Amino acid sequence: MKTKEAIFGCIQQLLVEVFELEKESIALESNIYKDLDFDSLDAVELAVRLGAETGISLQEEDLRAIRTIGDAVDILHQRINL
Amino acid sequence: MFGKLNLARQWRVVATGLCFLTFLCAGLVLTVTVLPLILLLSATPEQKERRVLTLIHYGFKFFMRYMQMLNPIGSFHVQGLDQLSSVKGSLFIANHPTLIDVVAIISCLPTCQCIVKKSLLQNVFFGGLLRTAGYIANDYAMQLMDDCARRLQAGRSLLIFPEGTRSPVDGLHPFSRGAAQIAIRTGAPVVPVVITCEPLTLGKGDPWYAVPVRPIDLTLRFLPPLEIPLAVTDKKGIPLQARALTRHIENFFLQELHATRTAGLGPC
Repeated sequence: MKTKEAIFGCIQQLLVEVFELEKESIALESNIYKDLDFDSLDAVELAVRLGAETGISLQEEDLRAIRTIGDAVDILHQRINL
Repeated sequence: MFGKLNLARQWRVVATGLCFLTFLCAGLVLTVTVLPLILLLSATPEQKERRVLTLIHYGFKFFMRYMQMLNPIGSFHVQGLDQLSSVKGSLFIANHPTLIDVVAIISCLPTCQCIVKKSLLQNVFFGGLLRTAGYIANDYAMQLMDDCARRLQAGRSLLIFPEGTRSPVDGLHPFSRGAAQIAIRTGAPVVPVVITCEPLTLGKGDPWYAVPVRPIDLTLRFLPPLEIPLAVTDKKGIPLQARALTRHIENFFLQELHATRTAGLGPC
């Protein structure tokens, strides 16, 4: 999973399975709190699931920096390709 | 007659101001006198916490009587509390029509800690007391969940207002999912507390001196622990269960408040 598209696909799949969101409602610019109705615990849950899928452990400061799906993709892409 | 009513209302403006002043001054006095003694004389953190919780409980009990004596509150009724088999380890969930809801509920529950806005824990008049009593800020990180679980297992009860702020005049704010998350992760019994206030007062945005036309009748109804329906437990994973349980709790409160309104017991 080295490309941003692959990472986005993974996040999208998780959001559909775990949070029952509509695939069409998930975009890079979607704000996880305002558009996807996340709270801080949902963000932690997503981080844990992404950790299991990608092997990348997102810390508290990473979660604080993530506002949009695009932010999450960027951070994961950076870590995976280090 | 109208002159007499007007005088009574004017007195209640003064009395309401006195109540605010008393609350803040009492908080400050207790913080600088009793709290340091408790901190000094308590052997363990648990003992310190329990003593401050007891202090707050009796302080709020006295304050509820004080408000009735001065007359901003005409009557204060508590229903259903003696029918609860146990309060220890329970998660109390309440609607939030007025500013005095926390005071009213804690005056009934001696070992209950409250999940409150962070700003209250930092308040100069009483923040120290609340922090020492183990009150918790309502930013729902995982650490908070673990903290809540420990407290409930230790026999404390927790009080939470899922609306996060005072209710609007005509209903409820959308419930946040923190209460449901705590309930699901800890398995604690969820005890609804329905608060009715007739007439409504001290709502969000109301100035302190905007007293209603007559003293308020405040009622707390402690209801039996909620049965969690299959529609919640059948959901896969905590995020979906928390969403379903939040909807269930919110609908429960809407139905109870509607029934109260229909029965003519209160506007909220």
